Amino acid sequence: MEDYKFLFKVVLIGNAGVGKTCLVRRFTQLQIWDTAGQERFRSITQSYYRSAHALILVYDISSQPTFDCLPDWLREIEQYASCKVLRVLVGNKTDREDRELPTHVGEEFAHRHNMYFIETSAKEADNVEKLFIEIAKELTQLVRSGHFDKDSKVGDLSPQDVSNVTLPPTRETRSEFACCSRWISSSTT
Amino acid sequence: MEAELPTEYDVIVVGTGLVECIVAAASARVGKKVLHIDKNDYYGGQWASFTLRNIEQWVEEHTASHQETKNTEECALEEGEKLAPTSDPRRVYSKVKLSWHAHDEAPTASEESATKDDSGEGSSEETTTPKAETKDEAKEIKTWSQEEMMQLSRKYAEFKCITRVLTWLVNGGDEGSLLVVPCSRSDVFTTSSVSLVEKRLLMKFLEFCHSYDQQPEQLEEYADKPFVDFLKSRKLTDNITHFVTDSIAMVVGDVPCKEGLERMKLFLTSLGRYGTTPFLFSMYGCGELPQAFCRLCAVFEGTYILRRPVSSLIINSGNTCLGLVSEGQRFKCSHLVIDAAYAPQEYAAIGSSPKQPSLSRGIFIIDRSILPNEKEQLTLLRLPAKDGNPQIVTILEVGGGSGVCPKDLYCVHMTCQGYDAEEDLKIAVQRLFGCGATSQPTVLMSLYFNLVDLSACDLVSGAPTNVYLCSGPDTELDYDFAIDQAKNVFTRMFPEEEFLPRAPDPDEIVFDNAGAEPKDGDNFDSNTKMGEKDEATVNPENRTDEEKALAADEVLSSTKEGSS
Repeated sequence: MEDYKFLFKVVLIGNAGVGKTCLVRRFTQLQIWDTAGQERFRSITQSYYRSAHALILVYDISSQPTFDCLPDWLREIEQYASCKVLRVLVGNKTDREDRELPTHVGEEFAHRHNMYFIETSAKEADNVEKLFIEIAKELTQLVRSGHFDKDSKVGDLSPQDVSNVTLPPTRETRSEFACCSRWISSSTT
Repeated sequence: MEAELPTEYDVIVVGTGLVECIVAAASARVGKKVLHIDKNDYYGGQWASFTLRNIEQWVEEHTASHQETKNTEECALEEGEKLAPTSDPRRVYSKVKLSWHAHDEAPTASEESATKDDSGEGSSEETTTPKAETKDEAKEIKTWSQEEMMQLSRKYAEFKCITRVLTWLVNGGDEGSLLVVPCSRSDVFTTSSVSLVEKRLLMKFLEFCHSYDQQPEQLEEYADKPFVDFLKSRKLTDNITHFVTDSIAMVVGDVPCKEGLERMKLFLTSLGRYGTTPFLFSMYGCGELPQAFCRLCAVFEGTYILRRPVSSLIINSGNTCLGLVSEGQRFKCSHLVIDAAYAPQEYAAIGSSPKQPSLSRGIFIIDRSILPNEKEQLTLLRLPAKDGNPQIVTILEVGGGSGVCPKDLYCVHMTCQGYDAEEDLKIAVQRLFGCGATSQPTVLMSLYFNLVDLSACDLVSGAPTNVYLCSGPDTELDYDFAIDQAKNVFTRMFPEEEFLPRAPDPDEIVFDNAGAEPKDGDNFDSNTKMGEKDEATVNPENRTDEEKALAADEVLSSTKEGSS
């Protein structure tokens, strides 16, 4: 893979079937954690949220119940994710004819909870690239402004910390993150 | 948010302790249909890591008197079937005691942050992330180059090296003090705790141990004799003998020579693989490890449900388990894997005899390191059973850098065999935390409890042949026992199958539309096992999330790992 300057972990959450995985698959040059189906019975592992820099909360614009569950997901975020995590609300499936949630409803919710907002269609590849590019840009800026400093509980951005261990074995670790996660690797510098 | 749940599985796993999770992952990995359930709202069972707030809740649940409520959930049974009620998993705990050590004087800065963390309210960064993770009943350390384990969990967990090994050395008649154990060549050179002559002796001895099996003639005489006798023959001083037996080999002196040497070699050959000691600690606590395996299982289509109690197992007249009953619903399976603590009393008679092996555990939050250093250290210390200390106590100290407590505070774990944690750990606590001397740390929180050591119980003979009981943590530092047990359970279930085969390499995964923009968001396949589903018959909208996640997980990992 090309060299990168920063590595970011981005996680996706939201009800089953809202299109999280489709979003990810639309953008395979990035590395993004998906829920692996553990959201179906609200049994996502805490470790899923560890060290995330950005968190994408997805609902289906044609399904009111997926929107109604957003507060539950927010509670889960509050409990397990870092307070510094970049939060993005995504209304997916804009290709659907049977929209139940007008854009402004999503916008207002996002605004109220201090989140970014975007509507996408993973099926039509609409706005998906924009979503991830914007996240990468925003995270890069946050890093430069010192938002993710050393003491924060989000992933360490400097790849020099040798006391962290990357597997498989090597002491001259190439990056401290590669072992475990889906990361956005941003080469935008 | 609840989805519909199928009722038939190859394997149902009850409880999310490490052994259960490894078995679940291994089963899903070879294509078995797995349901994994736990009555708790957290992962890990006896291996879980908790925040301070969660641990208070846990303590409350485990100190309240719990009368054995027999599960009498109704379920339509067929002829010859009977129900075997599950047990209350709290039965393995006793003597749980949590204390907050507030002081009358004006609180110091560190006390403030600890109490804030407790309440979880506040505006400072530390308090808004109440991640002061303290671990429950845990194994702390990954040791001894356990390649197997590492390979399995490397994708989903992070590790830190233990940076130093300490020992408690009593010199002459003094009370003793903490010293850093020189365990590598460079340590031996730089240490000030042994004399120049001793350095040469120690160095020579370490070199010998590294390749002791190539010089069998040097050993013949000692083959069946105690390790200490052999050490004497090598003219090691008392000082060095202490380092070697208590901190490097971690044995008691009278073990056979061969075993002592084997442990020396394991330690020495494990050095330098990841750091300056042979030990690794899982970031955010050992509770991450079961979760890593659960993710692996989920990626291979295992189904996960927390907060789901199991009332009974269903047993037929031939004493075979047909499945279980949960919230009035019947689930069928060919194999049932269960945390021994949950298992029906007649399968594992816990608490029936007072002298069942038991672990004593102590967890402490302190305001400075037991041996401060300018850099934060991850410390391992083994207090031998001598000089007044009744039991071998294994002690681990971790700081904020490991994600288990706020910066500048430390979390200390103590483990030994015994039946009364507070009493058994008294000497260790006195030595390390003292009685308030200014140079010694102040204890902000202490938690004691005892846990039945299920690893020492017979978990096989009492259960039906297709019910597999899994133990909790044992006293050893490493996870060998848990891994071996998981492997054994898996092999008993599926003798023909490979235990956790290597995940496909990135270049083995081929996308049929590689490079091109996919036409349809779901039109994705790979040539690996996971891609073998008949895509043509699958309506993208109806694909399960597991299938999608599975595919995505592998794609994404391939982009990363391909670069290495």
